[in-house]
Amino acid sequence: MNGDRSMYQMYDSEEEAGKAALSYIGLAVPVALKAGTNAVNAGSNVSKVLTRGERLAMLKERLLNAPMPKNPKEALKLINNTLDKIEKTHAGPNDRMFGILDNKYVTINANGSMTALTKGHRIEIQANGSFSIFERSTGNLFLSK
Amino acid sequence: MYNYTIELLKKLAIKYDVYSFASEIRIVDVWYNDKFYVFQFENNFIGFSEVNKDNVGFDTIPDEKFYDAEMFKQKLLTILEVE
Repeated sequence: MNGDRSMYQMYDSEEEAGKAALSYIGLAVPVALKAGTNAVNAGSNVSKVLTRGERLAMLKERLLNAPMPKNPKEALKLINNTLDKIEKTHAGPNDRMFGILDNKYVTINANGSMTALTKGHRIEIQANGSFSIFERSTGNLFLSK
Repeated sequence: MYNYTIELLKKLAIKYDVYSFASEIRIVDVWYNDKFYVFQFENNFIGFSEVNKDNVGFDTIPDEKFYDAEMFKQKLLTILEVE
């Protein structure tokens, strides 16, 4: 109008419009929006979406290699923070696991030990910070640190 | 609804386990037909989850929340195959 370029541009699909909008506000188009890909973020730091089982295996490996916590509070923080980092990078949309969000499912015992429940696991933390995680459906040990 | 659930599990001789917390929340684990179910009896809702290798559940957020006891009862009767 009046020789100015139009402010508006028509796109063939909502997906195209979405990608253009992301570019306009300075965000890279997520690889996940591109057909046939399986990734969370674009750019050089592409993060692969993993299944819950794969993420749990990663959690186990990282917890076993982490510095030893000194008490139950540190142990719970270690478990939550480690899970959080994995989930931020490798969980798909609406598939995130959150660990122990609050004390509702936590029992602090008289000897200073702590038991925390998730839907699938029981976390037994000793007063010195050592801990074991069991699968609740089978009672099998998932990891011991 | 908690008492109803426990009585039903007893009556049907279905394996279950109960965890009670200071928060007055109770978790009921149920093993039935090679499946593992978790019921969370919270103050204002009942949570329902099926935990398996695809849904490992390393958190306390239920798959489904029931705010209506009758709706939960229907779900319970369905999974326990009660006519």
